[in-house]
Amino acid sequence: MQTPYPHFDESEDLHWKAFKSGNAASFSHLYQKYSAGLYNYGAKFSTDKDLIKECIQELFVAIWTKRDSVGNPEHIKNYLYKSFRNLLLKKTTQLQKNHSFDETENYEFNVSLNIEEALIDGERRQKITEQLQLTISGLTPRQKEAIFLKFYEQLSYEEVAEVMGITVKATYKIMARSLDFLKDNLSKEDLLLLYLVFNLRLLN
Amino acid sequence: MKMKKQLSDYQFHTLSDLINDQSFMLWVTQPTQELDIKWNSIQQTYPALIPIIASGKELVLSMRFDTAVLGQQEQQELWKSIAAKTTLKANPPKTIKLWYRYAAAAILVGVLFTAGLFYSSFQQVNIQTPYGQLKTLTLPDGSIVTLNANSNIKYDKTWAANDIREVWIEGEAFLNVKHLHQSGQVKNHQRFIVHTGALQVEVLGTSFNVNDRRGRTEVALLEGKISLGLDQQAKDPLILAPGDIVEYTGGRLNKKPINVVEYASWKDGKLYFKDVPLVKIFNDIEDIYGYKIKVDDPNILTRRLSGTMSSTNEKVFFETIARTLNISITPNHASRELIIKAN
Repeated sequence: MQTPYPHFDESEDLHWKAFKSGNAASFSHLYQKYSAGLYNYGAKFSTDKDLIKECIQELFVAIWTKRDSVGNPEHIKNYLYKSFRNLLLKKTTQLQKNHSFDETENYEFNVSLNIEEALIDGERRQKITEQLQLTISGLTPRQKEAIFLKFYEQLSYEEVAEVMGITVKATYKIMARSLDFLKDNLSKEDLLLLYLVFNLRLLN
Repeated sequence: MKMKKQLSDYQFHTLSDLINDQSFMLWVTQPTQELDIKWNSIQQTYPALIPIIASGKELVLSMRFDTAVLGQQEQQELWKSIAAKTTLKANPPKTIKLWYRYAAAAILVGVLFTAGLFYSSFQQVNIQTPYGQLKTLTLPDGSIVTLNANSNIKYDKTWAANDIREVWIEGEAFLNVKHLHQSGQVKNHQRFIVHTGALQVEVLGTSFNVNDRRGRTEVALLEGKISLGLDQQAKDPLILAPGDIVEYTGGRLNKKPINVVEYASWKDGKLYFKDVPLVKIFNDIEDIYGYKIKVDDPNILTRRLSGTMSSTNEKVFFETIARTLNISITPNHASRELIIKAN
């Protein structure tokens, strides 16, 4: 079976245009499509679920209210994620301390990475998961966020840059450093173990 | 960072080299035609890399982030408060006219049926997918259909300007229908009907899933509204609300709540199971890959499985199930049988 290519959704553009002209169904479509992803993204910045929901609500109320003046972003997802991120960071920093929100270097981003249960089970899985978790916790929030956007949300480098408000070059750098870090910190054993699990039939 | 590599640079790549290779990551996570060509030619040139690449791919795909889930109810409640603040509530979707507007939303439909098709074949497109392969195609109006393995779609080659858009589907398909109705009276050509034997599903423009297997019909709705009617009877059509699933079996329609994620996961090359008895999974395998399942110990069938699995590679898929449940699954390619044994 072939996996369909991601990012192929021409109807998306039509929905955005319809939403801008005041079509409630298309507005609802945007909400249905992105709210769960935004919520998951938001949960990495904050454990306050009500705050995350509040930000989602504010985001959608805001884009509806300003629908005449919002442009036609090339990637709707990026636009929503970026706006949502700004909103959330602004609110979390406001809550923590009354600081200005320019200090975007100073934020939390907590991800936990897992190995699919179905692929490896029992003790080995736990060991590898722990190792992964330990390694991940060594990454900076920016690195974690970039990895999350890249591998979970499947954004391109350009898109990650746009959402995080950094240059594409910086994104490449962050990603290369993160991957190097993972490679250096995951033992050969762990990689080999994974490798064995997938290749058992070849060795038999 | 080195961006361009020669083909020969890949010759002695190890698993960790691959994982550190940007184009490999991109290929696995966001494949494009260009990357497909590149990685396929690497595999052709260096067959020794094929298993390593397969492992790398599985490794990358099997790493996943924990997800914070916004429950369906929470999601709907949040939407209600957004709708209230954006005065959308002033237009309750009560009347027939209004649900047409909602038809642009995504819905999901699973339908099982056995149908006779009476159209002559020369003026029809008739596409059948083999076992184990998905196919994506574009209908005459630009709507997009993803056909699951072992499925069939039929429709007229050309759609006249004033005709209702109609397709006939057996097996399982995901449809993304172009929305043509703007306002006012709905004209024929703005209607879209999926025929599924005893059932017909009518929409104006939406995404949905039809599944017709094993004499059972399932229609599940993600969002928006659809109208469901029995072909034979002129009864009032049933209108589905988000999160509803309707099962048609033995001449009766039953409504029940569902997890819609399960119904759509196949089109992304993944199968999603939540505490599903093995007998159901084996039924899916028979339908999708075309094997006959032979089980030595019927007790195996009552065991249950949870998880998301990649179904793009049948070997890996079988091995994953076998490993998880500590059973052995051995395909016999000649007889198309799958021998299941408890370890």
